[in-house]
Amino acid sequence: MNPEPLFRIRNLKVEFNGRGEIFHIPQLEILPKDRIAIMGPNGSGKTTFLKTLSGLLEVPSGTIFYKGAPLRVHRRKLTQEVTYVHQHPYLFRGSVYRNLLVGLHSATLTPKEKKHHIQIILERIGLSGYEERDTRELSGGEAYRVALARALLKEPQVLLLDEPTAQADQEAKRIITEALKQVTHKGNTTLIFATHDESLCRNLEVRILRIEEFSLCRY
Amino acid sequence: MKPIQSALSLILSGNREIFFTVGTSLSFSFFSTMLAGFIGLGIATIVTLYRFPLRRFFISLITSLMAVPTVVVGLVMYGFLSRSGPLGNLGWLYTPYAVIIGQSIFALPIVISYLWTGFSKIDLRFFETIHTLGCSFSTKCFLTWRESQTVLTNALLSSFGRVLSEVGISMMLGGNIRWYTRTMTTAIALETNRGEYEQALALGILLLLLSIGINTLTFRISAQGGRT
Repeated sequence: MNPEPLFRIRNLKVEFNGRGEIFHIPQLEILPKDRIAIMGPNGSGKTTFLKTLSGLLEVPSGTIFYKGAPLRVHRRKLTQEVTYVHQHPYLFRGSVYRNLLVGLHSATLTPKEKKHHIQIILERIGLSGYEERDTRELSGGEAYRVALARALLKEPQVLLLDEPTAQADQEAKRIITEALKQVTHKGNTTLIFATHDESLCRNLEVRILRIEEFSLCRY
Repeated sequence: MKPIQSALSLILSGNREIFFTVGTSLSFSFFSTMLAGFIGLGIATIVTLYRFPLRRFFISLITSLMAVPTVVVGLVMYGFLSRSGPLGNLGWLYTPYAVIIGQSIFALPIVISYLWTGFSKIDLRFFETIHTLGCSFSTKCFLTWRESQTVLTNALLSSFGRVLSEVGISMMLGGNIRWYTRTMTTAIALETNRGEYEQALALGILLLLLSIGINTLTFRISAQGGRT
């Protein structure tokens, strides 16, 4: 028996760049533990689609069901279970450690346990010893990895990533791929990401959704 | 030149009454700004973080209230605090409490407006990030304030400067009572009427220096905030 879809999308039409262009998904179902890459040219609506799934943007036309109910009904659940990471993520003022603490906000952990979790996640994303670094001193690739770590600490059921390897060098790409493999292959996280990186898709063994002419036409 | 010389010698001699009046002004302004800051910070944060019906109308109403003259605030509060008013039994009219409350009401729209304008300039990704990370209400507030420390300081300093130089509320609610509720501005008005021009001028010079000091500090903090 097939599991209940996490997201069920019907006839979604989203205007995405202020020029009246519409991104159209006639029908799509995303299952728990799915790994999906959205590929398509720049400006084709990938980011808008991810933001709509995360609840950051309203669903203007058509419907998106999350766990069987329309997205707007599950708004609260969505913020607790779904996390989106921007292509150029926003890091809060202060140290890397302070940023990562925000990801751990809902956990009832002691300060010692929090420190331990943060050390482990930093190790996993190849930034050990970065705890006290000021976020303004980080490179684009490092900032993305910190944002990814912050999102992973939240332990989301659905992780939405915008171009996770766009700013990464070869080593950072390998680290990001490993980190994502760990949460998707060993964990229960559903991963949906926008990318141009074919090798990332191969390594993560994902289902690829291709956007052509502003429509999801091949998957 | 003689009045200026006399005013300066009054200041330099450390005239007790003048400096008591300055101290009264500063303490009234401090407490009223803190009260307005505390309430205004909460309101501005909620208006920034949440969408609710009539939100735009609320913001434009607050902005419009910035233009209300101090005498009107004083007049309305006088109605509330006078013996026959709804709050008359508190007996606060012509006491520091009345002045502080009146000045807080005057400062509140200024604080909210400054804070809301400042918060609106925060990167949209910040708000999306705190939303998607599922932050609690208190974490959202704390992070918003931490991201805009400069805005917060500027809002408080600007409102402090405005409150320090107002005269209508202090006069109507404080009653200009010597050694009790007399502030720099009410004293200047009184001394000028009484022909004690040197005393008024001395207070005027001190008020001007304080205003310049506050504005310079605000400017420096803004410039520093812009660089970081």
